[in-house]
Amino acid sequence: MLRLPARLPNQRVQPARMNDMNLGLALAGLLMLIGLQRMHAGRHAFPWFATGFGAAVLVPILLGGGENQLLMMSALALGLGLAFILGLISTLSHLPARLALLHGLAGAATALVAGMAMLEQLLEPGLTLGLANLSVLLGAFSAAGAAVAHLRLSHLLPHVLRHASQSWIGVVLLLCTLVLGGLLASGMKVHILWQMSFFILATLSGIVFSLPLAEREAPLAASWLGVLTGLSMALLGIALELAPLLATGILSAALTLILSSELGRQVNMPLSKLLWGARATASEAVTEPAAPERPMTLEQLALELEQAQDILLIPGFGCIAAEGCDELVHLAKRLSQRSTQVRVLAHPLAGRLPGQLALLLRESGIDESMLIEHWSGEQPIPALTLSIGAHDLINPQRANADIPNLSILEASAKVVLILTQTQGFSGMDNPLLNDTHVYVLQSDARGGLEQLNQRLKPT
Amino acid sequence: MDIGAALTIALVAALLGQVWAAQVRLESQLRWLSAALLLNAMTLPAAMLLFGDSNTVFGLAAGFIAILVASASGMGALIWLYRIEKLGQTNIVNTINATPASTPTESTSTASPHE
Repeated sequence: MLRLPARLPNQRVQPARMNDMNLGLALAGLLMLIGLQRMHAGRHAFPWFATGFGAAVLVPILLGGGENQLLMMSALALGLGLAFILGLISTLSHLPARLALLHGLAGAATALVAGMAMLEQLLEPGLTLGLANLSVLLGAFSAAGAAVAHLRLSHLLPHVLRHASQSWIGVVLLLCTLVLGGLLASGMKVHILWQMSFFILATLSGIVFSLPLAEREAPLAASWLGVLTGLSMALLGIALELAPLLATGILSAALTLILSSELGRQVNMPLSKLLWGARATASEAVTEPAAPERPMTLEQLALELEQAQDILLIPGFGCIAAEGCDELVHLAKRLSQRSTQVRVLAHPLAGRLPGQLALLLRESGIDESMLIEHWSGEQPIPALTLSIGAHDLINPQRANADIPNLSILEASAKVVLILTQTQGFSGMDNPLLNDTHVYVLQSDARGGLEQLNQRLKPT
Repeated sequence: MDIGAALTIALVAALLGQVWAAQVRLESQLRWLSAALLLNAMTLPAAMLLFGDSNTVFGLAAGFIAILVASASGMGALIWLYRIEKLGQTNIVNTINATPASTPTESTSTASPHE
């Protein structure tokens, strides 16, 4: 049977140790598989993942045999400690940015491990080295792209850099990287400078492809880059003859691929649009936002809320961005104390990532009985609907059956939009603004809700 | 590695991933994304294995950073998974599965609501 060329020419890693490592990794992978199965069954999976991760850390320590144990333990302690501190100081509103960062770190780790095998000349020129090179390319591309996405989501890179030729520059860079990778794999270029150039070119390709992405596209892009990280890990597994690494890499890539494509379908942003569409829209003119036809004051809205018997609150990304979830939950609680029926629609697509809003509301202490995540079209829309920074979510042009269609209302029904500007983050016009049932309170979500809570009369 | 074995492993893993991911509902995607990210932490033992015997300056530097970022990535994903589960996403999934009205429908949207 056809075999890939033998590896580890200088036999630094003993075969017996490799076998033990494979066994240990298989155990760690198995624990994580059980975690995934439990997740699939809708049960808590954290303990299984934690044990699997613990096994992945402990196996190489227990196997020992290395000369750099102290440095290894220092790097491990530093990495775990930094992640722990970052986890402690991050709030749920940081989640999309942090997940992008973690995708970037995972990609960088894979590229660096493959790079280390190349630098230490552990791999024979040919197919094995070629696979390791490809692993470096995918890992570095993913790391650079995810780093840009993280900076974008953290508002550290506010300006979207778009140029008509950007995609082609990226393609040319990628081709140059592939050619150089081929030369390195063939053994024609072995000097460290060529290896460094290869790494830099791969990183640059990732940056060039990611720079034109806007903030709203960044979480999806980071998710797609996770597919490349998984593939990179799988290729590394083949090159290093670590079968569990190959299996978990492919599993991770397959999961992320399907989840990303489903999310892309839901938000009408397939991969092709993400790669090429973002650049095409750069020159599109943004229409001037229209002034609201029926403005409403805080006093009027407070009065409406006090009189209503049934209220639907629809928070959107504007509420998350303004960090208004605490005030929203406070408002919902105050209204329910007045014997008003309150429902809060936390649609999965309201945040930057699916389900983020529901998590934020839960963290703020919302009553589970108020929380709904999907709207059934058969349900009557309450007499008063309050949208808080959900301008794009409730846009009737989206026509999503899980979101109430506020353009078809009974004569007595009212919709109040709390928004900062009459165009959402998408820059898209919303026909609801011209609807006779719709009133607008121009305020940021947090400030508006805070003032509403102050104006509502105590029960 | 034997190419046949590598392809078989890859095929089985891809099929398993496809079977699981195809049934993931939108509201529990975040949990699955964190779990998929955690799978990538398997790079960490590979980094530790190679680093233990590394003896060039560049190899040592690459290995040190690889262990640092791989452990940070794995630990970070684990922390987020814990937080997501703690806030009861499992309960949501169960509740929604039991609610006929929550059946997802195909989106015909023209703009991203992630805006």
